[in-house]
Amino acid sequence: MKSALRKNAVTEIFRTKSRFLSIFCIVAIGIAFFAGVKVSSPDMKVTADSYYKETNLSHFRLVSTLGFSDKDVEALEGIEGITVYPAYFTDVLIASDETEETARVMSLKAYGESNEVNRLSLTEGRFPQEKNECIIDGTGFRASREVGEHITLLADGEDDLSQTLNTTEFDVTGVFTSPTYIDKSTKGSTTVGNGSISAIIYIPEECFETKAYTELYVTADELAAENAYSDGYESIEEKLTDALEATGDKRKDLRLEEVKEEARQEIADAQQELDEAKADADKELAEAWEKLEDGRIALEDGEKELADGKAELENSRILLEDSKKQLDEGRAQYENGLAQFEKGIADGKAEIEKQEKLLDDGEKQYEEGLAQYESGLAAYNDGKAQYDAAVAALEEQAPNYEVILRAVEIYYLVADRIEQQEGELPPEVIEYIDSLIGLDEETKEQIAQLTEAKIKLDETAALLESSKAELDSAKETLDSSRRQLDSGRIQLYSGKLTLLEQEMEGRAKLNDSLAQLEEGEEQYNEGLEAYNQGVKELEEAEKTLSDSRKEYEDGVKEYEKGKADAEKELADAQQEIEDAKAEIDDLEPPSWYVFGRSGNPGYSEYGENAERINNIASVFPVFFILVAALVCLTTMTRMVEEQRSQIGTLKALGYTSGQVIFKYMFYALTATIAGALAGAAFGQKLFPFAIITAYGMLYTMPAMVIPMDWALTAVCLAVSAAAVALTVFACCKSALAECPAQLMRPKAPKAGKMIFLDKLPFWKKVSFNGKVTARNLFRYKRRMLMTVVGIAGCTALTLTGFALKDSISDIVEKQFSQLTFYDGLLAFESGEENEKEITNILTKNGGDGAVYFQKSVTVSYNGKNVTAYLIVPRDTEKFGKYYLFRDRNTHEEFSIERENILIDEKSSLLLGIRAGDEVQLYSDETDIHTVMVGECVENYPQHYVYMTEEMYKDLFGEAPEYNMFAFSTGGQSEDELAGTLLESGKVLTVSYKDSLMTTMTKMMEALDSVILILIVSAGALAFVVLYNLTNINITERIREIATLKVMGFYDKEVDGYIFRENLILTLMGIAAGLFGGTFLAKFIIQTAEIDLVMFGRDISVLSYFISAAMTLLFSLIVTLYMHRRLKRIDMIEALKSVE
Amino acid sequence: MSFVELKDVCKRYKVGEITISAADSIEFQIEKGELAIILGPSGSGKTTVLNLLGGMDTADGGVISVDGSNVAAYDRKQLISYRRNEIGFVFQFYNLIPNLTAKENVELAAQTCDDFIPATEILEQVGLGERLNNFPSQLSGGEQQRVAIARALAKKPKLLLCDEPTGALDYNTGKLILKLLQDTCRKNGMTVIIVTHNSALAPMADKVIHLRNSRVGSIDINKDPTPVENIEW
Repeated sequence: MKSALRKNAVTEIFRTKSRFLSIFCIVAIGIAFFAGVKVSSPDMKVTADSYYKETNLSHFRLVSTLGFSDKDVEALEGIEGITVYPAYFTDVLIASDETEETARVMSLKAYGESNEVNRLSLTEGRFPQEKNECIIDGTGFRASREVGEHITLLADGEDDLSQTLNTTEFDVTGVFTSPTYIDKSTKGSTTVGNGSISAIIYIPEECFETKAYTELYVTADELAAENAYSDGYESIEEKLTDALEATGDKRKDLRLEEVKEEARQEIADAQQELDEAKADADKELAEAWEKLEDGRIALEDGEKELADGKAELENSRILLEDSKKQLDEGRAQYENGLAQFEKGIADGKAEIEKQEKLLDDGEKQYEEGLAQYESGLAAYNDGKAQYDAAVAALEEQAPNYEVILRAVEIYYLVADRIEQQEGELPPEVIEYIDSLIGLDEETKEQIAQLTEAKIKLDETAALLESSKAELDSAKETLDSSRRQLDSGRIQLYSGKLTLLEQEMEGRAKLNDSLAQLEEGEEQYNEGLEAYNQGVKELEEAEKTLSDSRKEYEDGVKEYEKGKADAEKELADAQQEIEDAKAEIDDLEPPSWYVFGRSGNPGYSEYGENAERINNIASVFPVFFILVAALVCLTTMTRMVEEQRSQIGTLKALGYTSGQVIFKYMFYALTATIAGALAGAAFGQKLFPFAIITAYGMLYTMPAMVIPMDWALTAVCLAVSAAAVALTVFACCKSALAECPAQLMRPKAPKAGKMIFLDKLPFWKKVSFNGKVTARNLFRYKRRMLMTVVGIAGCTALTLTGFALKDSISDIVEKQFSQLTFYDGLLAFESGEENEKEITNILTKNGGDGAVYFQKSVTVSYNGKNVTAYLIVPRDTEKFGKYYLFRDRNTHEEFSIERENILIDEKSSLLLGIRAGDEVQLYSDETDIHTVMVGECVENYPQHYVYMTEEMYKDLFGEAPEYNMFAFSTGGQSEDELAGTLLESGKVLTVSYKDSLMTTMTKMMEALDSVILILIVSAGALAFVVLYNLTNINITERIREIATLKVMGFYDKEVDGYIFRENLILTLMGIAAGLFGGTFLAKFIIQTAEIDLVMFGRDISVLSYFISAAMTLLFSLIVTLYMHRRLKRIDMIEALKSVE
Repeated sequence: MSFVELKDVCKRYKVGEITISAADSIEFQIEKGELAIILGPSGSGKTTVLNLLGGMDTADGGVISVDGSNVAAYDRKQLISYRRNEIGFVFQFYNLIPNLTAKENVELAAQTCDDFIPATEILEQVGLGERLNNFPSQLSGGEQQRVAIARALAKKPKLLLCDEPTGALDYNTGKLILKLLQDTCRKNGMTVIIVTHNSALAPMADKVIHLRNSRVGSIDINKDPTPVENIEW
């Protein structure tokens, strides 16, 4: 190869980077998606397979109605390549805080390690090392359990656990994951408890009492060489199942004989044991009777002794009473004496007091008299003195008056003389005589007065004399009374003294008698106490005696009862032995059940899920890659067309066709192979990772195994390279067929021509841009188609992604708002009383509820099985308040009919049945019933079969044991009501709608990430495709654009010229994509569904809108980018020459 | 001042490390209504000069004065308007929009300005009155070039720039086109500038500008230009 040519090829890549990158990206995305989704399914299977192999997951599990013996094991191991691992299991109940859970207890062969088969791996803790230790599975228990917790195993109903297990108390030492139980939500079904196993427990084998192995795990070398879920595995499994069953047929009768022989031996042993027991019992009874007799004698002695004691006590009581009487009398006498004595003394004292008082009174009188006398004396003395003074004064005054009188008389005489001498008296004398007239009178009066006073005084003197005599006689009387008083006082003192002496004497005597009395009383009290003690003792003795009498009597009763019981027991045992003998004869040969791995819960579903991903992988990516391929191929075709002149030049220069083709081959293959490699490498890691992670939410699988699938990578590479190479070759070939001269000239542009639109009347009114756009669209039909298909594909893929999301997010809402109307479900211990009580609680709290019976059943049709819940409502009308049965499409409503069952739509799809078909229904493989399907009803999670009570009775021959309630809370707080319900002790579990919704939503999220990948991938593809198509468009029409620019078209006008076309194509693509996407989405939703859940089938308007908007948005982004490119187009370069 | 006047116009291209001068101190004048021919061998810079004149490229220096305005100082937007309103282009390869009829191609250009000659009229003028509704692929090379000229003239441009208009045409057709251009110049007073390497065409022009190595070699003025019919090559 010429180096110039090679260089040209390499330069071309750099020159058209965007085109090269477009091809690279489209191929990469396409291949990444294709390879990624394609390997996801195998990767899921490989992950599972390597897990199964690593843990030596058994290929078969055998159970038999009579268990297995070592001989059975030997017989099986006789088959070539078969290894048998015998084990034990039993189903029990486990007490939980509020509820009972059903668990399967399985055996661990050795302490401290896992079994050789179905190896467990611990996620926490350690394997049991003691007999009372266990490990639990990490996903089962409803109530969370931890290492170190204590678990008590309980029997269901009347079963006797002690026949199967010798220990029922365990400490949890570890948490395991088991390859047998990969499904996180179901662990299989059982006849114990509520019928579905919620947890698995492994305990040491030693804890099992069972003689025969309850199950055999079988591995086959032939199967170990095959991959799980492969066709090869299935065919070998079928073959080996036959072989195992054949062995079972052979062993059947032998095993029966074994069991019978064992039983006979057991019966003989039992008989012997019984006889021995009988003898023992007789002996024991005799001994007991003897003991009772001894007791009776002792009792009688005691009774006699008691009587004696009683008599004695009676005597002492009489004595005590006598002395009591005496004492009382003495006490009375003493009291009496004391009273008299006190009275005497008191009387004496009173008398003395009286005398004393009298004496005091006398004295007082005396004193008073004395005082009177003295005051009289004083008065007398005063009077005397006054008298004396008056007398003296009188005597003093009398002479004075005599003088005056004399003087006056003289004067008058004088005066008369004068008058007579003179005839008349001088005036002064008259005046003076006038004054003397008064004086004369006055003095005469005063002399009279004085004479009067003198008389009075004399009277007073006489009075004074008489009072003096009185006073003297009083003095005498006073003195005599004084003497009388003094003698009285002496008498009183002597009386007082005498009384005191008498009192002292009397008191001494009284005290003596009191002391005597008290002594007597004390003695009496002691005697009384002694007596009381005696009485008490006697009573005790009496009680003891009566107790022992009672004991004795009880003993006798017990003896009699024991005797009767023992006799009955012995008789029962005898009967049992007889029954057992009869049973042996009735024993049927055992049936063997051989289960492949599909018997493990989750095993088949996992495979189916992988298959489902494979289904998606076979449609979705193919479509995806078709879009990618289409775009790539057109890109290359156009590139070759674009470079025709260069091809012509090279050819003209004498290069061979091969050499010319090389350049384009090189270009295309480099982009394609690089893209394919990158895509394959990236896709095969990313997609399986996301998908397995999503499914990891449902299954306990170890870290995923994601091997590169080199074969697939090679195929991808080869196919994409071949496709591109072929296209390039074809394009170049047609180009090279022309002669160089023609090639070097521009290819005659495709003729413009009138299109049918030109004939329409409004055409003239269409703008030039409009005309150009329309004509262009019709002119390049192939290009248009390609663009539309490319965009449509991307839109469809995006829509499918959103539709998947819709279908998932839809179902929670539909299930819980449109199809069911309860606020919660509760499970209770079946029984009419419980049912009534719960109804009461509900109605009391304002709620209401409908009772129904629920159990797990298998529905089977044409060899396909679905595990569903059988629901039998007590009152279909009431039940109808909580459940709506309707057709998903027509919304026609149904009710449960007497003659047929209702089944959920998903089950009907899985089984391939329609209304009117007859299906098998059973919970026990030995009891299969055929029923007719009435209607298939809309339902999303789980599978349900509904039938009436009458139908159930007819089918199963028993009344349903109602065990569930669908209820409404009536606005009460959920927690409160749940508390009340659980407190009643009748309710096993309460689950509320809200929590159910949450759980379901969580499960649905598993698929969400897968969907996100889908949407992102589709979006990425859409983007690249749009970019590429627009890019091509511009490159091809660069001259046209340059011309417009030269003509002075504004940027906006130029953009419009190009993008109007693009917009129309995009819109057409979107419309086509939405249309096609609807079908693609429906198809993919159906293939992507998991068995347990039906997805919604409706695509929301919003999803259509978003898908369209996303495509438009990408288109817009591309347009914006291209706008810059258009702006930068170099007119001169573009127009300079024709390439 | 002349209608078109170039003064000291330079244009350099950088290709890697090397700078190539495509126009070096170009100076010439063209009067209104003149038919000028820019003549020169390949690589002499004649197309560069035409591009600068037509506002398709920007000069690195100097003044390009057209009807008194300096085109060299225009920004991008002004250049677009300039091309839209004042310039008519005729290319060697016609560059018609293949999807539009002859009439529509003309109308496409005409609709960009307010004052234009109706398409039918101008097409009749170039002698294509009968082929109005033909698509370019249905027309011969000469006819296509005539449509291109009609398209350029419909806008009533101030300047008609023709880049090797006969380059892709045969002798007779080429002559016909040149005749059309010369008539347009003479009859309509249109200023026409033709770029060609064919020196035989020189006599038909009023002014012949010789370019050599990106410079103006000489400028000849024909007092009496020869009608195209009389030119042979």
